Amino acid sequence: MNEFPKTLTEALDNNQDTRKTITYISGQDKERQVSYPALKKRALGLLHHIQQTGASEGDELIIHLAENEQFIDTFWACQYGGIVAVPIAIGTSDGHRQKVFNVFEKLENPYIATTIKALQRLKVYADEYGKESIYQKIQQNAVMLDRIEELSAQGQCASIQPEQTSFIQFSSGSTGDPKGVVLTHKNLVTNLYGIIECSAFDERDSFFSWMPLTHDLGIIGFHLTPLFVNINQFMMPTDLFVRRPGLWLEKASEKKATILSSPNFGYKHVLKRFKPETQESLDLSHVRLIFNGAEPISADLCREFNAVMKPFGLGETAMFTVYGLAEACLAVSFPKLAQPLSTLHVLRGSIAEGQPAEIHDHASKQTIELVRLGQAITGTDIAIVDKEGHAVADNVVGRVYIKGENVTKGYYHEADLNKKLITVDGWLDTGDQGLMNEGQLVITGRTKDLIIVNGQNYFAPDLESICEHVDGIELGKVIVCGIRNPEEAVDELVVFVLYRGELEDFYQTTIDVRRQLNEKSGLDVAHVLPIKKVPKTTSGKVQRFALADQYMDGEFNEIMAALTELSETQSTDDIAAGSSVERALLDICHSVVAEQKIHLNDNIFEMGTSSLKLAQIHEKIDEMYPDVVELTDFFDYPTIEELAGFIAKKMDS
Amino acid sequence: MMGFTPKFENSIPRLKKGQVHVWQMSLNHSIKQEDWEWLSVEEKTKINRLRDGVHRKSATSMRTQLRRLLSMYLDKSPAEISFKAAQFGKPYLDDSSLSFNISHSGDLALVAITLNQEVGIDIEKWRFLENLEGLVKRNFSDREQQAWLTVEDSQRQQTFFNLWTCKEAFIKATGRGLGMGVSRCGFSLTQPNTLMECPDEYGEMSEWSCFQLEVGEKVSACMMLRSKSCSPLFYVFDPENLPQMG
Repeated sequence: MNEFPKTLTEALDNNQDTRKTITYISGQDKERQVSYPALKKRALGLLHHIQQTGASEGDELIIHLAENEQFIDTFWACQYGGIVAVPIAIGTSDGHRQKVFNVFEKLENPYIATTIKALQRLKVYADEYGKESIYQKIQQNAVMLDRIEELSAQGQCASIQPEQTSFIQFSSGSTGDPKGVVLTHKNLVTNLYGIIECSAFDERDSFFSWMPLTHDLGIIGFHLTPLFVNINQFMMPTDLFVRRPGLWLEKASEKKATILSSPNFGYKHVLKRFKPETQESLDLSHVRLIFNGAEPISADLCREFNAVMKPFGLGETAMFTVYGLAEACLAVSFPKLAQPLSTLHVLRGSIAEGQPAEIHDHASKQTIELVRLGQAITGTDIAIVDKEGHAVADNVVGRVYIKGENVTKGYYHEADLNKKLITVDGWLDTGDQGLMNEGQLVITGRTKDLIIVNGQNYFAPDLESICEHVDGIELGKVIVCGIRNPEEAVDELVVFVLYRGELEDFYQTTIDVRRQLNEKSGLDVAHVLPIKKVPKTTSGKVQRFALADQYMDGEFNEIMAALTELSETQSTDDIAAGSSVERALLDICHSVVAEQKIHLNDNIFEMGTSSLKLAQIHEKIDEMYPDVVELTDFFDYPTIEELAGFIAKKMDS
Repeated sequence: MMGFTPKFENSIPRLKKGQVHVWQMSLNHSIKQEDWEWLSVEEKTKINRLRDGVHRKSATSMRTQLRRLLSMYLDKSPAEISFKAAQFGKPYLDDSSLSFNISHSGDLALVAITLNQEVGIDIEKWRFLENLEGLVKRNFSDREQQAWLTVEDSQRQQTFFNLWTCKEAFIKATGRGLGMGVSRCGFSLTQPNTLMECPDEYGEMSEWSCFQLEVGEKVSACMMLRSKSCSPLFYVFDPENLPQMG
């Protein structure tokens, strides 16, 4: 690779071939192509409007947009204007809105790029939580993307330097106190160089992703990487993938894309709905690499996915199990190319910091299977260290530290925290726990209170403070853990509540906790369990992992069985039961008719619901399952159970 | 055109054919235990399904006040009143030629009482609807959608609720409900009390009277009656201080 660009803008400036494009896919037959030169023009046109609102070089612009094309245009407008881009996901829960307000307050000179609808949602949040004055400022400094029609006037470009901040990834920390990872052009260019070199991307490749652009794997991995190689890229919205996971592979096949990606949960999601007999024309033989990262990786799931996709031409060595984090821009370690999945079996009890992990030849009940994640990519160093910061030997469990020009200089305006996380000689504590085995990195756990569900990071104390709003739960008496379910190959949320009464009386608490977490954070809870004691260290710190271990060892199996039985006999509320469509419909009904308890077999018309509320319920169903249900279908299928059956049947046909 | 505003009256004239009495109720009135006993099993079951105390209280307040109000017209005790539901669910009074229709939003309720058959009433407090454009697309007639395009953003919420209350009052008056297809009836967006499109099975536009009711700030309310002419009387109901019936 000669003359690698030194800034993002230099890279886009270099791409002058109008045949190289970004394709925004928004449905089976809906897509839009924008060439790289056209992207630059659009970005400069948009920059004009952003500068009209008063934003100038060094100011920050929050990108709060759901549509990929609007997001990308805005991102590049920022890059050319020297405005610091700050992506924040739209999301569906109050937590997402809270984050926008908290980040806005934290930034020095913030503006926001958004839409009328998203701004309205912020207003509703502000009204409810008494944040009207911040909302006023947000509104004054808002650029409304859906109001802009004319892009002919061009904005003022800044002269971009490699040391300048390109964007801030607010993916760490709690929603109440979000931590922004500051990334300079130099950080990004360094990481992109390593990514491109260690995956050997060239003009024969093309990229296709459904990852959100607010996630580093989306914006850096699957937008900036192909742009730097000057090759075609395709993207589809994450919610479209969630609704129609099959479309991801169908489109990848149609476009002959060679590079794909998904976190662990995405494979599970695809397999759940995948019907080999209806996929005769699917051809995955062009796929060279599928990046698998952003959350813990299940070896079983990789094998299952490979086996199911093998008849469709997916190669044995395509699955690319990688490690990275936002603090490194994106990538830290990659395996060697063209290698099959590589794993090791470790004795569960032997994973403890500072001790060698006991590695077995075969799987047994006492072992867990961990995936090898390769070696540090060009530009990055990895060290496994003990508590004192000294490097440990191979196979010894320690903290994963990273260093390199790609690694952030620190979190935005967090001097004290940065001192704690970054050593004087520049090593950053990732918060992950791992070991080196046969020259490859293996992640064994987390040292931070971080829970990763569906590729998104959640901060355990955040979720706990949400639970504390439930009646009967006291401060510090609730513990939230993310625990791996080996059969489902996903991390599940388990909530432990300090409780010493009768189990029958605990049942209502389980329902309330589920609903609270679902409404406030959008997360599904696997189990809510009573504990008699909160395990703490001698210094008074809650030991989440002690509870997770007890759970894994089956200590809660009896209680879980008893609670399941209670839910069957006391079934006053079906939130925990039913199919996924039923649960989705219940959620919709509850969100519109908040004051009612709704059961699966209630007649929607007998709930005394107004026509307007029914129409709203219908709109929301249509948003989730487009063109499946007519309002008049409610009359033929008047209960949630019947309607869900109708939807499921129609979706399958 | 200005809408109607409610009055406090000590004496209420006898209801005549072609006339409507509209009553406004506050649902914040406290409820006595004996009032609760007036309610039927169905009414109690529905109320008990409400999730929190505030909603249960206002629903109880609405049903007991409705019974109290109707008892003045029917010369029966509140507990003796019996409700039935017609084919598409519209409630009516057993053993009486009196028609009524009720609607509530938040802590406000409206009741229309008449000797005519087809009466509908609807009240909606303005609130943020996140899927407003989708609701318009699906539930407005073509003509209404055309007119909607010219409505300024700042006026959209108000216009939507004004129009929606007309539509809901209409489908409630016909007794057909949502099954009729809300987009089949059309109203003027600029004069919200003007029916512009009427489905054939419900007669001519001129057979309908439509009234905009003024019940407060940021609230839309509408009453519709199948009658060429109509003179509604609009009162505030105070259960502590019942008026004399003429």
